[in-house]
Amino acid sequence: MSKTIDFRNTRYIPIIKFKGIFDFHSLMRTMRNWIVNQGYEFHETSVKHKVPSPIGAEQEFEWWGWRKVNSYVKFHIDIYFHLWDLHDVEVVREGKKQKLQSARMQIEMTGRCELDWSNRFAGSRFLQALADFYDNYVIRKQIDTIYTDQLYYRIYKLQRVAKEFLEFETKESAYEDMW
Amino acid sequence: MPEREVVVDKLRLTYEGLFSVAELYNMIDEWFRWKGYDKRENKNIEIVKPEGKYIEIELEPWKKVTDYAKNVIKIKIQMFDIKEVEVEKDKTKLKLNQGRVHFVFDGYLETDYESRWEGKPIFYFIRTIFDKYFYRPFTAGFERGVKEDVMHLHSQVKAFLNLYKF
Repeated sequence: MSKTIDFRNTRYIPIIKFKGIFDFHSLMRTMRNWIVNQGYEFHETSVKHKVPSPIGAEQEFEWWGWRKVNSYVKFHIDIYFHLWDLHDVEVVREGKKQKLQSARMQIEMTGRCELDWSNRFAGSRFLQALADFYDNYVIRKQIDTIYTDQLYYRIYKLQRVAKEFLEFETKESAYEDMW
Repeated sequence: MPEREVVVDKLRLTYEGLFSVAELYNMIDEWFRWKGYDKRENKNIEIVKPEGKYIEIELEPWKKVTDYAKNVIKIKIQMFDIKEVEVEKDKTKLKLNQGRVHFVFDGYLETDYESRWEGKPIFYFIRTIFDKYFYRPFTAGFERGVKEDVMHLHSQVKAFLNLYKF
């Protein structure tokens, strides 16, 4: 049976909150393109749209991207969008009329590092014990310093994509050259 | 759960005036990288308001000192009424921000961060005894390290903000 190192348990989830006017559909497209370009399989696992009130709609999206790193390790990225008071607004930018969206938005990004995804060590308790030994002693350092670290900083890169799109003042990162 | 010792508790710093939000954030981020801390950004909030942006950032980078102890610095930054302004200095135009910024620094020493000594009550007891009596000189040294790091960052931020007093 495969084992998962979930960042929700070991490391915190970076959260972005934004309130203002932005192009929501382009943001979704940009983030989706980044995930696909990094070699991840992309899935939109859940979409919720609540009946809009006079101040706007409430929407929730859940995304899941996964990528095989090698025959033993698989990366998963989970993204959750939650929007409140979402409504269209017309803005004149550089003399052109544009339809943008105004909303309050929260984006949560997290990751999971799946070990033995091909279930090589599944089948018996002995093999399971062998897998535990392999993970805890043989490749422990590799899991810690290569795999989880890589996924962790990749998530921060995706966070930067969102921050750049939303023109955050804090969009730069000193850790950009990591992985 | 790892044991968290508070080394620096709510060290505050407030500034009002001209500064660059992006450069300030970069300076802090680069300082953590230079000191060997891993990035952890718990929260990053930006709210666009008519009177200026409200920005809230919570950073909690950590550094493993040994297999047993880890330095954690928590810094909460709140910025109010952040506006973009153009300033002329030495006949060159600079794009800066104006507003209020409030920092809260905390420093922690986290021990047994892999929860290896928590399986049984006896392990927990032994760990506490070792931490308190046998391992004390080492723990005190690690705590000093956390305090030095927080104070250095605090002085760096202060020096950075003083640069904009012109």
